[in-house]
Amino acid sequence: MSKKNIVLKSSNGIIFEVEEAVALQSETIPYMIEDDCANDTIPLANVTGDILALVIEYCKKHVVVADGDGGGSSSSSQEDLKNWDAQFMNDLDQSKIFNLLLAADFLNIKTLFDLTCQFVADTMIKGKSVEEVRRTLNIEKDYTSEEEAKARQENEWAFK
Amino acid sequence: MQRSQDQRVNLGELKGHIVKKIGVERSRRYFYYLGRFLSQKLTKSEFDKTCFRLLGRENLCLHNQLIRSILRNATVAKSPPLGNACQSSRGDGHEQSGSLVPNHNNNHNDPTVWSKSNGVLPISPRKARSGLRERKVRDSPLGSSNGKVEHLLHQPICREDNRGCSVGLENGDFDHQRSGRYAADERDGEFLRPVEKLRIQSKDQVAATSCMRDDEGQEEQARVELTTSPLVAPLGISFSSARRTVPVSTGGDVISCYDGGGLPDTEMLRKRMENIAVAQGLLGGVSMECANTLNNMLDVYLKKLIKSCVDLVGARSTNRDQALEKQQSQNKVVNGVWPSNGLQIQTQNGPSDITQDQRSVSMLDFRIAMELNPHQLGEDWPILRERISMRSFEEQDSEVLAVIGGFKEFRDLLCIPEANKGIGERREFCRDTVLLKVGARYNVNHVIAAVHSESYLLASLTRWKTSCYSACLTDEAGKFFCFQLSLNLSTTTMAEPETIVDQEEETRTKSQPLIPGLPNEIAELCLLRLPYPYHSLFRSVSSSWNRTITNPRFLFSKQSLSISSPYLFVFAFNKSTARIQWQALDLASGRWFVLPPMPTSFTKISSPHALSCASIPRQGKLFVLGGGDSTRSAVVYTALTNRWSFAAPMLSPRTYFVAGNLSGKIMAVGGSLDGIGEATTDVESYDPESDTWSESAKLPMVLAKYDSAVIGKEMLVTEGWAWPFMFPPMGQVYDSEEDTWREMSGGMKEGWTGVSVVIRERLFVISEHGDFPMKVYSADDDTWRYVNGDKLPGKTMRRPFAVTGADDRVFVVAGGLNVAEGRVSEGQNGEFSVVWRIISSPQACTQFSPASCHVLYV
Repeated sequence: MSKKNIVLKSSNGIIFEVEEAVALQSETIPYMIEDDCANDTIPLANVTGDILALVIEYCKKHVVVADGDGGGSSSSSQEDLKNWDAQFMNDLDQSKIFNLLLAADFLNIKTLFDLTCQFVADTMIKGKSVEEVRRTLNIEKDYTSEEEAKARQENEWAFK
Repeated sequence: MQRSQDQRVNLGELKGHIVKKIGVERSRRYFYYLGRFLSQKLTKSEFDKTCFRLLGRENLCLHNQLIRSILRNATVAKSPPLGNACQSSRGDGHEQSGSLVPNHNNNHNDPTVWSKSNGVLPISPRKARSGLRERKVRDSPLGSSNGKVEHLLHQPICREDNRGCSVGLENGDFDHQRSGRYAADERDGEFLRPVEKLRIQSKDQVAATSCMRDDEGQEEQARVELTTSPLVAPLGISFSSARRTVPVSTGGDVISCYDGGGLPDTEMLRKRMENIAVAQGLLGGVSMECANTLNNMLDVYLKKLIKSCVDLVGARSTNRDQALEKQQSQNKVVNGVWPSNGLQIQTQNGPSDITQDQRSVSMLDFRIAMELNPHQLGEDWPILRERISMRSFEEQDSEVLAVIGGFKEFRDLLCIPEANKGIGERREFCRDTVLLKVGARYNVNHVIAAVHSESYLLASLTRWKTSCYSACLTDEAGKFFCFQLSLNLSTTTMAEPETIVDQEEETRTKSQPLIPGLPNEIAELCLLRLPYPYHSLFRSVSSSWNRTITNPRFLFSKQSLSISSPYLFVFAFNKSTARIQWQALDLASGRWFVLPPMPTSFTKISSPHALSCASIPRQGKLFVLGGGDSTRSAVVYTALTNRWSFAAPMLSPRTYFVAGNLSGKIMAVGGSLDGIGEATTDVESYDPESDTWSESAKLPMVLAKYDSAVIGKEMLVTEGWAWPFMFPPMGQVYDSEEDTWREMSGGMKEGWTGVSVVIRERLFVISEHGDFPMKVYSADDDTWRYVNGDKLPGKTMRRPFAVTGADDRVFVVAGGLNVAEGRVSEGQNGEFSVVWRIISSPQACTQFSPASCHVLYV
């Protein structure tokens, strides 16, 4: 089977041409290809260019590793991939992460979605105080202080 | 008491006699229980019960004789056991007790000797008291060599006893009536008695406790001295004896405080000190001055503590309103009622206004007084204060504030009208918990008053944070109910119930997204990624988080996405306070989390071994079965909600049984039936899906609780080897498909010498003997083989052990909650080997011993 390229177009009109294997990590794209019955540009109305670039970077990395891994080779490449993922996520700011999460959801790229969810949980919530979580995620405190005290009192024992 | 001739008693003959008298089967059980008791796996009262049942009243003397003989042999242990031991023991035994304990039943000689006057079957309050006191005195390991001094000390105490009783007759009577009903409390007390107590301390304690009350002559002088400050705990009250003096511990202490009419005579004290000094190898002796100083310091110290209580009562009685007057009158009665808490200081010598109507100082007063100024407890005050608070049971790091009296039904309490002021809005939490919100102008005393005006028994009121209390109520039948009090003392107006409901609805309608910028479904998936037990913490981020996290769907999603990791849940108890606590160890991070306390009927249990635990690891659920309340004999912990809730009660509620997860059903096998205490062969299984219990095939025989394991469709139950190893252990195997029992194979039960764990469908035990080798059972030749590899690191790992496994890992939890993780691997030749690694030991848990542990994926 010859290598086929797929052209993706972001919401702000930026064009990306990627190998089919890369694009097919998204479970959404195959449907779009079928729906369109065409091989030309697939418009992704929900994903901006900068985010789509990130998605493609991620997919490229993972498709490469998956190929190289074909012979069932070492766990070190798995380890490398993990490190790469961590680095990849670490370089992003919060709004990028949220948008990446949305894109991964829309494009239905499971590994990226899980990675991003976990990253949100680990870096934006876990290990932070309740106030810090609110600040980080821009959540308005809608408890009365009384209710909050109650909810807290019910749980604080665990974190002594 | 020093005996010159080293005559040993022939224990073998005595044992034979017992076997002859009560039969092989019973004696086997008797020795089993005795062994359990001696290894501290049974409490005194449980053991008493069993003994009484197995031996029968008429044979108790045999038991007493055996114990005495063992002790006697121990005291002459410098010489090796003789082949043909001397027979003169019996006469000696009697003589011994006679000379030791004049004017009393002679069967108080040691803690294990069953007597009519201990907590189980009190004949009269006075007897019970003297029994307890004596037992305490006898507990002192130096007792036998110091008998003379104790004897001397005893007599004044006896005299005081009489006086004390006539003064506090009212109390005494109640003491009698209630002692049966609150047997649990007494059991607690028994359990508290630290067996490994240092010798010196227990001696000191006698001296210290017997002088809690003081005679009037010294009162004036003391009051002068009281003004001097700062007060330091007197020389000679070692930390732990002071702790025992402060009435946090056993009933026995309390009794002594009550009975002892004054400080010990200085000369006697000096002699005692000298004895102790000699025993410790200090041959210089003790000067009179030294004893005198100790006495004086004690005097001042105790008076200061008592005075602060008395002052508090005085202040309260002038402030209280009518409702509280009523409570006061109840209080007077009730203070006597509560045997386990009664530091019954009759304050007839108290300051002016108290003198008139002889108010008594309750445990509550004492605690509050100590809370108000903990420094007066002396240099170790933080620990002492903690000990005072820890005296009660259920909640951790709590400060128990109240023990007051009352009656009727809990239902009514839920309907305390607004007119009663003090208690306004209430809300149901879960099945057994009610939140009562209390208005601004009212404090905790008003709540108590309101509860009282509704005629309840408020068993305990426990402070969590500054404004939060949880309370236990009992009805007349002694059943416990629990609720939480939220005291809102900072706001000036009381929120109307309707307003709060409105607010809730409002927030629901204009609820903000979980995470702004993300759709709720996605945000929820992020929250799902939070590890246990962070969910529950972050419930307070916003009301939408709270709703999402507490929704059962959340739990379901997490499991179905299998985003979970193993945690080691450990059921442990504090060796000295018997406090029961669950905690979880994050195996990845080594971090410990404490679980919320179980419902009261479970935490109030006399011994954690009365309860049995099972788990469904993949559902993150723990089951605890047993408990003090037969209508609520099963409770389940759900890790994702971090809450305990009741499951359907067992068909035949029981204690001291084994439980296990057999193909998703929770089995409860054998044990003692609730209430009667009769051993049962009933077996039942619980289906978590339908929340129902159903009967299974009965055990063919009674099995004592030791250990069990589940392999595939079979549950293996053994009662293990027991001292004095006269009979081989019994064991049975249940086949869940056939619903039948068969006898365990000989090799398996013979070699089952420790706590088991099943890995790769193979049965392993961590032996409780020697250097705790790990063995694996091989069905082919019905033998056990040692597992290769390291031994369990014996230095950090001390018994008792709780063991569980997950995949190829075995987890051993030891005393102090040290955890060792063993990786088990199977070699080519089918031999197993293990590599151990110590995970962590929480600093705060040195006093805790594990009773059971489970790995849950949460």
